[in-house]
Amino acid sequence: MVPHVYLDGIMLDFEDRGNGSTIGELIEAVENDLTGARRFVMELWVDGERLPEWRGSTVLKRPLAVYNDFKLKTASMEEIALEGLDLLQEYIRVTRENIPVCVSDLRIGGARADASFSAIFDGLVEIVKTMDALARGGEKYSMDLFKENPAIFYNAILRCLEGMRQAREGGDTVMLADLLEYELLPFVEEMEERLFHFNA
Amino acid sequence: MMDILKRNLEEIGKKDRALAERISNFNGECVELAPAKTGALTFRFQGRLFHSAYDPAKEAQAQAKEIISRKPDFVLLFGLGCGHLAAALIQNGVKNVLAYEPSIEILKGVLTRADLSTLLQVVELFDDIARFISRVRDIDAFENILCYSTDPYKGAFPREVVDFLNRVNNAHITSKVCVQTDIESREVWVDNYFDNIDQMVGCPPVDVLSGRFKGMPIIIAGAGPSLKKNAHLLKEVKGKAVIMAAITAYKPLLSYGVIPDFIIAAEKVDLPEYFTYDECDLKTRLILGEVAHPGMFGREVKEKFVFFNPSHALSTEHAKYWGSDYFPAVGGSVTTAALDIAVKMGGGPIIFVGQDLCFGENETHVPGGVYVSQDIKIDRDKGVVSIEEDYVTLKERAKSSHKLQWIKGLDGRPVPSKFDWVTFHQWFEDYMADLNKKGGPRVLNATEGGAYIEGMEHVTLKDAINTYINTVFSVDELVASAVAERTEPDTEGLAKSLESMQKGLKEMRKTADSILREIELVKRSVSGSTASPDALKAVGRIKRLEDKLFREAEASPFIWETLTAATCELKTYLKSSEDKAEAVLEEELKATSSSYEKVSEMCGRYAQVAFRAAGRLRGASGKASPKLAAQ
Repeated sequence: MVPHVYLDGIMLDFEDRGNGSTIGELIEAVENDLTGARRFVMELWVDGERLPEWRGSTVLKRPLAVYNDFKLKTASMEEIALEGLDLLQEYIRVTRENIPVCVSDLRIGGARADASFSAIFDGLVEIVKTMDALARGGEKYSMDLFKENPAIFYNAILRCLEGMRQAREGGDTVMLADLLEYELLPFVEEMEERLFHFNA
Repeated sequence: MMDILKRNLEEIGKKDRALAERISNFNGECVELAPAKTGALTFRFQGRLFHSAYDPAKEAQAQAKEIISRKPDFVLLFGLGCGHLAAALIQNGVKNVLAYEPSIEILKGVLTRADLSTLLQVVELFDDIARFISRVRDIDAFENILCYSTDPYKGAFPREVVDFLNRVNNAHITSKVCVQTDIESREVWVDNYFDNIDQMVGCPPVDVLSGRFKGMPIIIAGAGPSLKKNAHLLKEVKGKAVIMAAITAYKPLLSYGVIPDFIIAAEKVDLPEYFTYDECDLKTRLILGEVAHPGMFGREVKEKFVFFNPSHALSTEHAKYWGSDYFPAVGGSVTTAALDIAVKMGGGPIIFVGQDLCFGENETHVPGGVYVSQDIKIDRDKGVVSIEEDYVTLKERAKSSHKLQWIKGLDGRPVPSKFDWVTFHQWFEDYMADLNKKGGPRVLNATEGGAYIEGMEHVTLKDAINTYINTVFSVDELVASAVAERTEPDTEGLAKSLESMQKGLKEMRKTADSILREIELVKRSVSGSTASPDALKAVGRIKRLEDKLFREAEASPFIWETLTAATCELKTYLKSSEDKAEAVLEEELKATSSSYEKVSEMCGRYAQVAFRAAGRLRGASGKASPKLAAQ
């Protein structure tokens, strides 16, 4: 049986010769056709079920022949970039809000200090990863996503992460709180300002 | 910098000269202070920053806010640091701040650079944990204590912080237990004293033994589980050392063939089950607290001695009539009193056995006493110990549970204990610190298990015997000569004192009744929280009557002891009403009225008790004294 493939609601004329194609090959073929239109596959539905982790190799390796229908939804490069920027701003907001909570816990010896510090640390790593992905995508597709090049902040963030790691490993909670309160927080606020606040 | 240190030391020296001297004399390396961005001081110690390098005062305010949110009456700081937190607490209205600084390097470094002279006028500073704990014990049990340590101190002094918290906790529990003991016991003790008066005429005060055993070893036997390990060795020291046993250790010692020379007891309840009622009883002597149960004074033994407690008003008032001016230091158990009495007797060395102060494998006491069987379950996670036991006089197994507490064991590891033993343990360590400072006799702890007691030498009983116990002497002869020189009690003086107390108590009752009538007047003219001019006048009269009552009570201060329960009830009420936004006047009047009803009742009752005791005393003075009876 030949599976039906729909792209943004329109059925594609797709032939699975020899019944040996995989989901990954289908996606690749579709995205090759979409590149010129600066669109990408964003969602994959198989037999009426949305696959959330479909970019993972286990899904991409599955054969097409065992399923009845595939529905692919696409988004434009601009839509993806905006979604990425929203995500980055959310990471920055949450991290910025976590800093005073963690500082307070560290200063008073609160029990949640470890958990809130981990959230900040992980948040910073995600911020760097997302900024980098957006910067690369923006460069590839000639989009000016940031007011300033985010790469100029990477070294400062890495230095901050290293300083905090050392303070934490040395059990120096006062220094850790100082780094968070007096270095990281103003830095994050400044970075946010310099990346996103365009002058009208 | 020298000026700053001088100013600080001058301030410290006003309260604790020895601490000022210790700091002044310290010549080791001190921490180096550096200014934070705000100019306030901070420092590093063991690689850690102890205050913010940016704004230490802001950091301290955050900590103070957190502390104050828990509404403590006393804040006990582990670590003074540069004093930022202590200052923030004072600024925010905390009145009682005590700071213990574990490091002299930090303390001197800070006092050299930071002018804390103003702060030190209000903050009590300590560098000696024993003195600090002693101060904690002075804090009223009704006060809320909060211990606080900043993270750098916890990181740099992890063991010391745990020890600090355990000791503060133990000390405050001790205070609470003492209050509870007072509530449960004070009235009974007063009753026992009055009941014992005529019997005490025949019992010499323990003062007569003062210095009679100079340089002779005195063994104090507690009834801890480890006594079974070395009690058999005591048989061979009989006649070469004085053996003084806690009453609980008497029967267990008999099972090892050891008849103690003295048994010490002070329980407010009768303990007939502790005696054998045979020749063993007749070969030993009792040292009894003056407030022990009258039944104990009725036991037939070779001789009885009595000791007077410094914390009982009747005893301090009457001791002179009994021919006593010695009040042994008592730490809540008879072995604590035994230690001070042994020192008074001139003993040396003084050797403890069976002083475990902790749970044994499955028992609280050595076998052979009053516990037929015991089952001890320790739940470390919940911090609770449950005890089930067959007691000789009870038909059913008794059950109890206690909060588990920990004290340092002989091998340095914590051993499981409970509040009363912890109290005694603390007392022993304080006592030993003082005794050693005074150059007192050597005190050995030959208890082969249980708690480590700072200040005592820890040895096996065998080694102690081999080293110190080798000369034969007659306890009987020494005791007999001591008793022969006893001064007879002044029964006439005692009787007069009791009659004077009776008169005073009657006056007090009249005054208390007048106060009650005035309170009734106030009650009638009070509506909600508003008082009429008549009520205000009555309040003025109440104040004057109260002053009169307190003046009258000066002749019979013991009456306050009989009112401990009512006083504590009132204190608890007042403490709880502190939190109320608007104290309810009617409720306060009710509480005050209830207290004075109790005062009136007790004064009436004890006026009669004192009168009867005086009468009995006049009758007893005609009886033969033991000295005469012995002849």
